[in-house]
Amino acid sequence: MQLFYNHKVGGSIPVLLANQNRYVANILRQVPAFLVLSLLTVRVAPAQTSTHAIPVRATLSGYVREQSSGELLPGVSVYLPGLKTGTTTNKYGFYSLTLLLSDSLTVQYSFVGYATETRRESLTRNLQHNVDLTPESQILGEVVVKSRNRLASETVQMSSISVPIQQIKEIPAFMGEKDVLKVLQLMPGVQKSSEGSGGLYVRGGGPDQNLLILDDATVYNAYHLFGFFSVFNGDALKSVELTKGGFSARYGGRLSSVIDMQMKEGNREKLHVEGGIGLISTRLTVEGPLQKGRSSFLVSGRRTYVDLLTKPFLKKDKGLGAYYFYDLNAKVNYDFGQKDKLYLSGYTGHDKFNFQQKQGDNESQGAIGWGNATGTLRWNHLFNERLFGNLSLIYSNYQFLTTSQEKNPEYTFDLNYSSGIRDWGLKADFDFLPSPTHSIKFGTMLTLHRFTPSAVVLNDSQNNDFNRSVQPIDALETGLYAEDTWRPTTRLHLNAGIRVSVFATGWRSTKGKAYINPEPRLAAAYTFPNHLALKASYARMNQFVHLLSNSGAGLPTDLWVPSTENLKPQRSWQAALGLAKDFPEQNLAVTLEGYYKQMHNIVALREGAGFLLDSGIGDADKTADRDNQRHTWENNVTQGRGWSYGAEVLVQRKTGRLTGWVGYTLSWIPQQFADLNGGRTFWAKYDRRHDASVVAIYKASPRVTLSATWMYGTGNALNLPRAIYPATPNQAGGGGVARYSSGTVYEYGERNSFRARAYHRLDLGIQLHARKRRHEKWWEFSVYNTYGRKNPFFYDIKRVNGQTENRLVQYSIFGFIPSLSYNFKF
Amino acid sequence: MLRFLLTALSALVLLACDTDVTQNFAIPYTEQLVIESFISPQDTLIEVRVMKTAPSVGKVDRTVNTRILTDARVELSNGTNTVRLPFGTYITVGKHSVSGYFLKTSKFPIESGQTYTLRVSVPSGLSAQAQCTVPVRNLTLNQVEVKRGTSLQEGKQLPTVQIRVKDAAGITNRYSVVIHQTAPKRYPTVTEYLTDNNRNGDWLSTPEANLPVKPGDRFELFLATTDVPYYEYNTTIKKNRDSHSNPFAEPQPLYSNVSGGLGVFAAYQWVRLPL
Repeated sequence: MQLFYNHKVGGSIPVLLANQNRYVANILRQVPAFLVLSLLTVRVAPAQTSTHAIPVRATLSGYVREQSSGELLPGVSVYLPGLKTGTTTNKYGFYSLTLLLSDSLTVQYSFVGYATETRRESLTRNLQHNVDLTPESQILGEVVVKSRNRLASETVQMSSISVPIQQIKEIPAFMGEKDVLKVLQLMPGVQKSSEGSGGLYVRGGGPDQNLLILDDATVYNAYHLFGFFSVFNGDALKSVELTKGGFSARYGGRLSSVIDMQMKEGNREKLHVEGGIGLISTRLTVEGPLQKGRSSFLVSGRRTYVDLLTKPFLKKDKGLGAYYFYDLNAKVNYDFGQKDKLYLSGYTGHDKFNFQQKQGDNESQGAIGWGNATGTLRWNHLFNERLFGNLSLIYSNYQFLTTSQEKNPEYTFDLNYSSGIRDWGLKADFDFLPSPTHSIKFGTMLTLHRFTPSAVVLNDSQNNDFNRSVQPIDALETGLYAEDTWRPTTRLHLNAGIRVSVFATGWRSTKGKAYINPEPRLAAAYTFPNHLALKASYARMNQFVHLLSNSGAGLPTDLWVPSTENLKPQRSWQAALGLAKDFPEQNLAVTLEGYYKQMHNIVALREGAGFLLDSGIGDADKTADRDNQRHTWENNVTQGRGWSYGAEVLVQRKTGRLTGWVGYTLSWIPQQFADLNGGRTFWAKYDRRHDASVVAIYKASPRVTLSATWMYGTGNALNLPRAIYPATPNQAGGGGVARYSSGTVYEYGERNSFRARAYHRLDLGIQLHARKRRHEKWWEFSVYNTYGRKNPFFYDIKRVNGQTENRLVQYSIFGFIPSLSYNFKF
Repeated sequence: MLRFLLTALSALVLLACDTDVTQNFAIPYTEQLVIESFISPQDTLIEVRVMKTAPSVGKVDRTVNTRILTDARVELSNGTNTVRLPFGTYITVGKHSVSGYFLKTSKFPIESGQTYTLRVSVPSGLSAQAQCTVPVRNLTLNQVEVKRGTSLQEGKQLPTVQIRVKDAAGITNRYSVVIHQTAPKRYPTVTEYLTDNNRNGDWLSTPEANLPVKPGDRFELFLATTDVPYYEYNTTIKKNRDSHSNPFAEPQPLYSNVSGGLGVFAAYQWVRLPL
């Protein structure tokens, strides 16, 4: 046996090897030529023993938490400056580093917004070190804190964006309602849909192509009040991460993005209350220990209150109308020790419009309601210092329900319409960390979907009763994945992975169909000196569930449907190339990325298709037409191809007195459908050549925080009629000449050949904080659309001047809107 | 105070404002000829309507729906013979007066399976042409089923009718079903268009329709086998108008098989059944 000192790595670290050939063989074995093979062949040095029972390596592992709350922190950089290597904590705050034995090892734990913790360890045996990081906000002004955050140039992941929750809370928001999705809209590569809406268009993909997950549960309709507010409550969230490309094999099921949100676990040390009263809603979060240091809870709620305030002023005979929405997040966890942790979390949120009226003997009432409910039971288990596992049982349900009742002595009418999607899922994820050079993830996911496209029940004492429900459709979606992040040298990072997605539906009918699609993923990063990295990625994605929507605004009528024999899964591949440059002294990160994405079988409504409800409730008084199947949603949709390519620049500063970012996107999004625009290629509605945003948050003093956002976007591509002319339908048997229903029709020319006016807007905000020893309160005043830009919502041709002239009119909805809120925490 | 605040808030948020942006958009417009003609071997008259488009913005042309061009040169050809259709006015069975270019089918028969070409030009220089082929087969009675029933409407049981058509397998078919009330007044009460798209050889049916039943009412059923342009044009007219009035609907372009212009030149064969 020979003993080597590797002077390139730290200078004094013993490299104990049986012989040099074995060293070479070890390296070769670690090359993940193909990931599954890699999983089988990666040679993992034993933690305590070599073949001669002499300890060679040991594992340093543990959890990283926030000091004051005990909250586990994901994404914390655990870095060994001496070895120039490191890792990050996984989404449950766990890290593991298996290293050669060392008497003196320096370990830095750093994370945005927290003071860096540096420790010196003697790694002569396996060590479990749980580390607490102190939030900078608690020590600001007392100590100059120098955090060394994980740099953009050091990770292999590209096309990924994380926004600190604290920043989300400081950015001015529409009517004071802090909104995670609207903050993401300000990032390059992400575009909003219509004015005020939280819908996201990521690198040319539609809102249906975003996977929104809250504690592993898919949220199908993420919007309140026709898309103006998102359902995610910032007070209950711990982290938000958006991935636009270079997807990890862990994720699948959508073409364009993954928005992974983690709820906070709840403060383990002390009771903590945070709340606020705004113009339209009030919110309250309570968290605290159930058993100190072991178990905690969090309950967070938000509700609008306009309905409660207006109720005393409304009279029933004139019609009582009310609208509200609410969100409720709750989470409990129990820490059984280093090895096992259990989390139970849930979310429920609903929107509801009510109407009731009583005039004499006539009583009528109706309601439109929609909402999500999710639940996740998670069990973390540490098999050993290097193998971490999580098992999740997941439930998600989205329901839309409309009811209408009318009653008088002679007549009763009762209509119910509902649609929805319900999931039960099981997910197992494993992190295997054999050495700092390999980080292997593998796992599986199994989801049972039940789609209820529409169900109508009509009871009418004077007309035919009607009962039509499209049979619920069950589908099974599974995914099996494995990936390895490999650092063959200190400069080169590689991530190779594969995901196999399987979707099966219709097993109860003769039209059963199963799709099996392999999805290779590859990413590479090469780090040059001076914190500059060149990155490249390739990802293939499949999407088996589709959203039928013609507004893109997140309306409750939007309908999720499965892939079927006729409706094929959407497929895409995306390649991206980018540069990441960090300026650590200035706390600045600059990323520049170019991307090209091809999408197949993307879904669009056929020309002339309106709200799906039109063919549901609208036809409720007709007998179901089984021969023609007039009501099947499959008849309303068509599939085609899309391309998306462009470039993005992001300059971001996450820490310091002045934080924020500047983003710019240059993009093109052509589409082509055999059934649309005569089969010719056209620009997608949300094709935007230029999209820019500036976000700035300035902590003027511990008491005053100023913030501003400005955004600009090229106008949407849209259809406008170019000409009008008469048209008369023919009715056979009219005697050779039929002359009924003559009227004007509209000639549009090429689809989406016009551009709406450009969108731009400036929002400003100021927060005035008052900190006492035990509590903090702050007022926030913000202004939406400060200079009152009339941004387009939609266009129409309007007859004016005594019906003698047609003019093109632009409708705008939100002008200058100030808002005020009061917030507190203790 | 509270009321004031709420009103102010509602006004700020809910009131959409509109801006005239006609000048900001150069909507391109080129005048085009519009042709409408549906020919059938069973009809006694060939009619061609020739019109022009008008711009979508600007001064309203109130005559756009009624103005038939009177100075067009309209020629119909069956590949062997070409005839010119003169401009004229015709009084329909329903006593409507209509203008157009007419020719009796006794002078230029429309024949099953034959392809016809229509050419139209006007003195201003605009010209357009279109072609259609008359469907080979007409419907036979054993392909048709009339289902009668009743439906509770406004507290009364009223008669209903549903027409089912057995599609001829192996070929592409489109059908038209029209129920005309013939007495006391002539009027089409039900019009449906059927397609065998994805349903070749199946039974196709109309939805159940209520038929008014007053003493003296008479009905006739007209069933037609049509070509694809006939089906596409007639079904997209309503969608074009509906989608224009709904800002959230995808616009429906109106079908056209006319080159150099807009409109349709289509063919069909029909049979009549008493009802």
